[in-house]
Amino acid sequence: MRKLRTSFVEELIKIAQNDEDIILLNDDTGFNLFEEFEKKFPKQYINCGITEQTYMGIAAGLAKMGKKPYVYGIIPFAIMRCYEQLRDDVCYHNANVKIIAVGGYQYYKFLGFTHNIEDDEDIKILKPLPNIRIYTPKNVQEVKEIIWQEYKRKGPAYIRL
Amino acid sequence: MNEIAKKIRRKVIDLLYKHKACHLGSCMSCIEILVALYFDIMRKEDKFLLSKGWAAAALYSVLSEKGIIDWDDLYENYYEVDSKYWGLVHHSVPGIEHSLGSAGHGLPVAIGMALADKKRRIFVLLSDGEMDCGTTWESALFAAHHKLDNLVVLVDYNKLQAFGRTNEVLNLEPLKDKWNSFRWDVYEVDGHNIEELTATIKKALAVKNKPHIIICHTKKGKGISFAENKVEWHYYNLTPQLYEKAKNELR
Repeated sequence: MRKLRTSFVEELIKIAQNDEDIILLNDDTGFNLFEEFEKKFPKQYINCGITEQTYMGIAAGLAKMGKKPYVYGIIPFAIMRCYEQLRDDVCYHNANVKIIAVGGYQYYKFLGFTHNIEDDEDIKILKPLPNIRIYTPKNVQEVKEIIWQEYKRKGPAYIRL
Repeated sequence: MNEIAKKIRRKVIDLLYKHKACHLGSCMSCIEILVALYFDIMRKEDKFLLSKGWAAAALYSVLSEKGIIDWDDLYENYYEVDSKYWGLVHHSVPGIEHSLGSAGHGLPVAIGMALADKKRRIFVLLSDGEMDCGTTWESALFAAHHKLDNLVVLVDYNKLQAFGRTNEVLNLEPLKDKWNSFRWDVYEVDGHNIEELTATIKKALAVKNKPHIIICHTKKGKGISFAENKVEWHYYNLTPQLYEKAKNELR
């Protein structure tokens, strides 16, 4: 659902215009999505390379010092590869880290199981973790509402697009 | 400073003996590194992370000596399940920035902190076992790429990881060359020589555009004859006889 992803970036651009603490981290994914954000806020955009275990720890460190990190990736990489970092460094510390993960609507189905999820695997593994709020918006309006609501709340969130 | 180090060692064995706690070897190998940081190098705004969080008794003893935590409270409650002083550093304890002890977690968090405020200096102490972790080498790439010259990594290189000698479990050598090739500012020091440690860290901090790593050559169990350079002292508890012997050696 490309519309959901573009609406997330549009809202984040609006937020970042008045908040230099917003930091958008990705794992070398998001082609044709972040160009405008990067151009407008080059100091607030970091392509971390394919280092998900590390980028989740970096996000926790940024949040500890008052930054507001948004961590973007394809679901199996954004939460599964770095599940322990997400559990220990983000959730148990109630770190203000927002995770934006894509692939929930079987967007990558043509690529097979490595890039996709089945039967809400993501929700099942996130539910036991402390402090994190889980969202699965179905349309653009819901995405907008959740992004602003979570921006105003301190604590970890998972938003599946 | 050497007297402070000796006093910290005495506090550590008091804690470990009273509460039948392990990790004596890991604590003893990093005492001088902690003393150099907390009693010379670190300014008020600087931050420190103990990535080798299992040396909690060492850091907590240092924090008590600095007056940040209460020694009597620590002495009574260390290693107790219902207290905040667990055997791995926990962020509910004053002076502890982040709960750590799962190998490979401290360096990425330190990088995030260093990125957030480039005027603030971030220090992080890693074990040699953590040189096995994928996050260590991902972080090595990342910190060099972002030229994080406010980040100082100290490696407690006692050459004994939890289950054996590092060169037998997973050889790290040539360790200095590896970090050099990742474009870090690299030093090797005697990790039990406080003067050498402080001089080297100060020298490193003056180097711009590169993250710094100080490889500290240390001895596991340093200062306690029967524990020195012995892998089993990652786990063993002090018996009454060995506690007395250790106390005598640390007078």
